[in-house]
Amino acid sequence: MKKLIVILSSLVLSVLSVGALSSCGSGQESTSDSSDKIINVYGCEPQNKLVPGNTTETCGGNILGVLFDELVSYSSDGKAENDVAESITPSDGNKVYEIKIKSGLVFDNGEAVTSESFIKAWNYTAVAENAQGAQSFFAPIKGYKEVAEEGAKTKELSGLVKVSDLEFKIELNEASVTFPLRLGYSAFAPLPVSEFDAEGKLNEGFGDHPIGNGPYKFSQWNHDMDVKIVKSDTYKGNRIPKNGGIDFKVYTGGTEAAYADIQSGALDVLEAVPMTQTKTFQNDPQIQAVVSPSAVYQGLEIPDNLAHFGWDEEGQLRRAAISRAIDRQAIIDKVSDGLADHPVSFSPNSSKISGATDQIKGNEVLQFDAAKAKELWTKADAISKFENPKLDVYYNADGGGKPLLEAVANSIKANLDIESSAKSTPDFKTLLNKEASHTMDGAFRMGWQPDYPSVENYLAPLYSKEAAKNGSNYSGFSNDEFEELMVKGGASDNIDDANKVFVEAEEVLFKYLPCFPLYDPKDKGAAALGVKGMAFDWHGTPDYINIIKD
Amino acid sequence: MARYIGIRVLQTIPVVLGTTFLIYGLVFLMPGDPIRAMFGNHPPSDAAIAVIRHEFRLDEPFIIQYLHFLYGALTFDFGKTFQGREVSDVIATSLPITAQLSFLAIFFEILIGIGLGILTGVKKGKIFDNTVLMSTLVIISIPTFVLGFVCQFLFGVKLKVVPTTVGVYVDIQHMLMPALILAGVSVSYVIRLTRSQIRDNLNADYVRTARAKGLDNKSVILKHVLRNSLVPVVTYIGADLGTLMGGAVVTEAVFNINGIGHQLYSAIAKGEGTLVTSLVTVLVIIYIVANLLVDILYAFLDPRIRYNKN
Amino acid sequence: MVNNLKSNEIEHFVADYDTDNLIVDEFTIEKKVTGIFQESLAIVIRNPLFWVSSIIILILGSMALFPNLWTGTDPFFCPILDSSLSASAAHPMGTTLQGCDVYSRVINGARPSLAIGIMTTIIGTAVGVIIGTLAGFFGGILDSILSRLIDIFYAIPFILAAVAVLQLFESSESIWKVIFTLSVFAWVSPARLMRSQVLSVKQNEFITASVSLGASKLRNMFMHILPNAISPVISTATINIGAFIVAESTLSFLGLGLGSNSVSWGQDIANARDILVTTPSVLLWPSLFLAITTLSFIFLGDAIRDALNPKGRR
Repeated sequence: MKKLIVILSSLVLSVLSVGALSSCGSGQESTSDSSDKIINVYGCEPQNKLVPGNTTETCGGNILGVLFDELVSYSSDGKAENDVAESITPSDGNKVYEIKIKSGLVFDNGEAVTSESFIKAWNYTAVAENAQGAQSFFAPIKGYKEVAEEGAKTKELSGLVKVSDLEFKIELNEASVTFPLRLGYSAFAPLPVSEFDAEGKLNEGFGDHPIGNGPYKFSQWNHDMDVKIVKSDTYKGNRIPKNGGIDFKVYTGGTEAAYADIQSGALDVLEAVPMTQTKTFQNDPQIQAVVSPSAVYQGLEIPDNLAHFGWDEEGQLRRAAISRAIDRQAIIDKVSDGLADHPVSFSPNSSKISGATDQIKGNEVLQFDAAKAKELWTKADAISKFENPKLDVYYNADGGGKPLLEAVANSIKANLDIESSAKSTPDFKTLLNKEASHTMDGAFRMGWQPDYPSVENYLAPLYSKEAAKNGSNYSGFSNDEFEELMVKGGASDNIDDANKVFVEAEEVLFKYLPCFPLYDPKDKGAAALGVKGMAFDWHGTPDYINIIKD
Repeated sequence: MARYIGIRVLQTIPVVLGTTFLIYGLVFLMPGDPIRAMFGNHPPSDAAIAVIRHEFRLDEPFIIQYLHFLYGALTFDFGKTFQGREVSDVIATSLPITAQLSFLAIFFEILIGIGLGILTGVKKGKIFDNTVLMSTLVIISIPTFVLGFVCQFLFGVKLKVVPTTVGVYVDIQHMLMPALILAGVSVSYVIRLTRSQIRDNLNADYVRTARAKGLDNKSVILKHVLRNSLVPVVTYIGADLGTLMGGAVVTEAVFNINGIGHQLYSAIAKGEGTLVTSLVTVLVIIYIVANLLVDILYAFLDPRIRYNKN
Repeated sequence: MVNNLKSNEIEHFVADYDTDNLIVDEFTIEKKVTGIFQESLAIVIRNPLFWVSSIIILILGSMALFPNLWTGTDPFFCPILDSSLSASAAHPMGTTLQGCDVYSRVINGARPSLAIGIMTTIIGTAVGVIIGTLAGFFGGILDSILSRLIDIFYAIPFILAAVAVLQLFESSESIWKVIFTLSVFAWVSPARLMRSQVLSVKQNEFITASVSLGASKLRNMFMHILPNAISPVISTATINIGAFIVAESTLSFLGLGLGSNSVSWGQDIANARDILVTTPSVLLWPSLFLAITTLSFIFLGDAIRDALNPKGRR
């Protein structure tokens, strides 16, 4: 027995000593001025090293968003404003853009931001052998195919031409009036020329210590723990921070733990309220609730590999019947706790998104009408009888869509008298695999986080033929009329004309319904008491630079 | 004894080989393309994806991948994660955190589990016995995510007696509540086991003998009954150490603890074969060591058990 | 309590573990020699806990076998407009987030939940007891192989194996899928426990005695060692029934459980998470049924163990 006690007590001692060691260095900084205060915000572990061209997910994206400045930046209402760019001048019918860079801008290592900083960074991202995640963002630029595909011989986009130290030209494959809107995405960030070797390769360690030109400077990254950034002292751009820095606290298990920390004051800013709290957070006296319309699209996609759901008349009728059978408003009220809007188009109907409108012919198919739904279904049955009618709806269990999809399935089942149940795959990759290989035996949830605030970005990447080959068109939708309209829209003289054409493209989608919107979500956030200035930017990221605390 | 330990250490080799092969195979068989999934709705060109697949040897046949992993592991090079981090670095940061959580949980299992087990085993009071039984039932019937959530809200947010989460502050103060929650279900088992063992042993001949010798009740229980009752309890706790280290996913999520459980879960979700297998290899070695200690403890608790007889 | 006791049965009352252990006068009573199982049966039926737990289990069993006796409401009828209602005449236990009747779901959830809990426990305990006994009894190489096999199974992450097993059963959403997945792990703990007990029990004098009296190895293993070693396994097995029902909740939470077109307590417990704060009753009811089930099996297990266990019987 004595020996046992000795063993046990030594175990306890060792545990205690580990604790004692690691609890060092957790002292609080004591500053009085709120402009020097570090803000603790919710974060998650970036999927890759912190390289702008390799990041398309939000965990890394949120951090890179404030470490780098691009040619344009977006105001909180979604307007693109010149940032690093002095001017962006279109020519050749919006096929060529001449870029002029502001002088005197520097990276955190003191290096000047020049046209080379952009050209080197963009070429690096586009070249196949560098295997960068944001590669496809450069597809509109001339010469992309030559660098991005198998057996590429060149390592430079022919569409990028240096004019002077502060000027360069971008030539596109096709005219695109919306192209300047895209340039605020973090993949288009410049990188310091000194970080590239002679071959045009980025230094191996760059992603561990990124050097940016943005409002904040990288400080420290403790994997799965936190990422610390501080106010840059050389920054001269549009977005001057009001706080002294940001500490992205990594929450490995989701937002529930983070919400508890907001309540207790251990965390200042949380960008997403967990499902367990959505009913109550607006009345929670221990936090400040922030709610605003979201740019995220939430739809239900029906792939064309399902029998009876093709693009012919029968398929169109059945798709319309399913859409009509879903009581969206009831689902919004009960499952989303009223924190969503009834959808009207293929993008959220938000003033922050260029071209978003509710004036689209055919969008009445989104209105719940059980009688009409049955009528459409019967009409489809007259064309070709659907024996044992069934439409299951899929979600990935690690993505939190269960309550929504169960409600959708119940709605379809009750209002159409067909079999429908919510089914799950254990994780996102299994779902994506089924989507991409067209082996899904049911409909599935489609969530789309836009890259730039234009309705075009909700259409081309999801329904074009190109996106079916190499992109996010999982329904198999392929329609010439839609393709022509998208090209025509891009070739318009100005954004307003383009948006009118995109509305016509949406009308085509309303006829075929490869996917239909379920609800327009809202961004739900929380801030600790004593925090000021918490608000969301156009695509649902907290507007970090304006947040301060006492 | 030394020979016995030597043999056991040698036996570790086939176990590690078998486990790694099995785990690597299971990950290989999992559905979905992990590389394609990394890019979500923005896939790069096929050529770029092929580059990454080649980098992680995912374009090679299973057996080559596995042998390469084994070769690397022998030279302590476990490769890199998809993120580009050294796998050994991932283990080095998360293992001490998990170890601290599990040891603390085991400590509670011993303290509360064996303690209450002895009391319910010895005491004849029905009320006390039933109160303990009911409490353990509540703990079993309420899933960890609810129990953790409620305790976090009550003690962390409302009463502010403990911190709400762990995060970067890996110390006893922050780990206290998570460890208690983690130990919860196991404590119930330990109480039941100890109680039933004590009751069985109280009726054994040697207890009569001891009492006949005139020993008082306390020393009978502590010197004789307890020691004879502990074999299955120690077995359970020893085996539980492994379960706690790898299976604390929910507790780690509720209290934001960056431990092995979370790493394992996310590695499985991402389909990172090398990372999963490396983590499991570490876990299996811990199990083996823990079980070896337990087997050695048997001989101490019950001197009649001998290992060198065959 | 009971007046019409026969003389040879009084001893069991005297030696009930709740009474003073020092009363040893039972040896003066002449004992009729009966078979071990008749004797156990006689003990069991005199235990009031046995009757209480049996009746509860019978009630639960009737819910599992004939849910229509208890409710006529369709557990899958879930109008979203009835979401998260509190208890009323139409919905005695309220409704879920999706608007399903909680009472009907709890009743209809009994069958899959009990099946999962009981079957997994039986399979796991049986396999575990056999493997543990063989390892502990024969020792040597067999012990090494089986013990290391146990180590390997301990090391396999539950989630990983669950995903892999799910692949085998692709698309079929039967409870067997869940039972099989849980069973892959359920045998490991009993096996280790059993091995440790057998190691300990086989050193006892009465085993040595019976060996020297010429009893065969197998007879020894089954007639003497097994009954003397099984007690801790039974006391954990009864808790396991409840733990496995909860484990299905974890599987459901991970998207690997029964799926939305079947009802189970585990699923409803997992789903309750989202509206825990505003409508705790959706968690309360399935958890309460789960707790009552577990309690009944623990009592039943205790009664059976006390009857079977030669040590506790005297």
